Amino acid sequence: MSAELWSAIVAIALGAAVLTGVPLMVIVERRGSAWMQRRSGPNRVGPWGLMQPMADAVKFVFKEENVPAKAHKVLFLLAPALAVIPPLISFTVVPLAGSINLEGIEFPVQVANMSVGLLFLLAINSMHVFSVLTAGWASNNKFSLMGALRASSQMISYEIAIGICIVALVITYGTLDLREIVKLQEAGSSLPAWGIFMQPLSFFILWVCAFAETNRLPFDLPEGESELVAGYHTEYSGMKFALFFMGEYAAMFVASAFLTTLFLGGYNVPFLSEETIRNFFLAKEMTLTMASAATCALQVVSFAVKVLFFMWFYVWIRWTLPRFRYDQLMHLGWKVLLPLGVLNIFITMIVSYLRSV
Amino acid sequence: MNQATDLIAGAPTVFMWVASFFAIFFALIVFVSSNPISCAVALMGTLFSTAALYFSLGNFFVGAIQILVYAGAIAVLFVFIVMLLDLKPQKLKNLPGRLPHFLFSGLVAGLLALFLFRTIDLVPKATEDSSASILSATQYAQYFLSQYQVPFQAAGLLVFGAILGAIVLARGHLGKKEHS
Repeated sequence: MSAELWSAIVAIALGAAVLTGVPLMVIVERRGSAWMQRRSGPNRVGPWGLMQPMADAVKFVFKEENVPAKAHKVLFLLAPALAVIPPLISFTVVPLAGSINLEGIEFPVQVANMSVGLLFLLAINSMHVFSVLTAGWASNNKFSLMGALRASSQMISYEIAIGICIVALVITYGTLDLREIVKLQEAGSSLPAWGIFMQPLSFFILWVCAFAETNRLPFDLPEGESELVAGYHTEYSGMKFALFFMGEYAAMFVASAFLTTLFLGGYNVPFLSEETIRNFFLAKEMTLTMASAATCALQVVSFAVKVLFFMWFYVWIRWTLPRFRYDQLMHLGWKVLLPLGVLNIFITMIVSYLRSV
Repeated sequence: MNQATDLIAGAPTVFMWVASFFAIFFALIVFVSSNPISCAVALMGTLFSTAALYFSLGNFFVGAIQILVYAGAIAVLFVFIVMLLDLKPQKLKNLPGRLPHFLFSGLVAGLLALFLFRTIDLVPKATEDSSASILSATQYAQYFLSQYQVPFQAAGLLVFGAILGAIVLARGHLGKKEHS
């Protein structure tokens, strides 16, 4: 098997997993919100309402598609696609598990093992704002445009804080390779050498920024129902609206995977290194391929659990906190998170200098 | 199985041609379209396609920086500003009026093409191990912080000056408006 074919297989499996995860997350969100507010939520379609996403998908496909008469047709159709594509692309550089040994060659469980994975992730994520901006303008609607302007200034502002935090992280890890970053977090017997213990301040800043970047409450000003109808996707209906929805959830998955990889040790199982697990399976008289596959399965589960924790946290926050006012949002981004990020860089520089001396 | 492998192994070359096609296609839209927003969006398409071209050639660092700086930040700001200014599609003058423009741009394009054809032999030919000559992020950093330290800092100062200039110009404009 060639490395390219392996990448293609992982890519298809990953794409399927993310696109299936989105409807599942929608039902988790709806049931979760109902649970928090002592309501029942969708519970009629199938057992415990589990078939609700299926019904939703069918409904979205069959709904009428409206294109406003004065909309810019090309950009109006392009925007929903642009909402989904960047999150799916940025998933390619996230390492999902260690490596599988096939025919004596180690294949990393990752679509593209890029030396600048961290930069790539950041770059592709910066494209996300573009779909919101295009959608808002192309709709030719005041509310849409207001939502788009809010979204773009919000996302650009918080991207700066993200960039500043990444600088501190790169100083700590000394690499831009996400697989290597995960491997660095493997070491440590008592306390895992996770990024959250090495860069606690950046973790919290990035966590807040992850909410702002995905336009989730308390940062959902671009949509703000009480002010802007539905913000940038007011004019969208049917499957086009569903694509925005999917894009938002896929972006949440990416942000969760990003935080997991950088701060929670990625696919690492706490206290157990890849070698330990593999040797354990080898001792059970498994072949090398089987043992490595079993190790990877365990690591994928570990990765998924951490990602799902962050996903659940998104839902938790959404139904707990009210929306910010716009000036509060800008104040937090520019006057709190950015200076804290710069302070963090200084601390990191001093510590890493003292450690190298 | 082998066919699939061959197909996938040939993908980077196909990808390179597709990226090049789109880079030129979007560049033409920037040139032809009369709607400023379409121009700005197409400009972003060109920058993104160029980044895709870098990726297909194996230089991931330059590709990622291209997206991060140009397609992700500068082009988005372009779109943002054009939307804020609310520019209407420009009415193009009829052909005789635009003749000088065509002549001048044709001259510049011709000179560029001439320059390209004269210097194309100077570019080292791609070989099997050409991927070895691609610099890593660490090497870039080392060059920027040692050999090219002074130009690098000077470029930073230049950008800083440009920002100050933009603020002064914008403030001045606002001030005049208030007086009148």
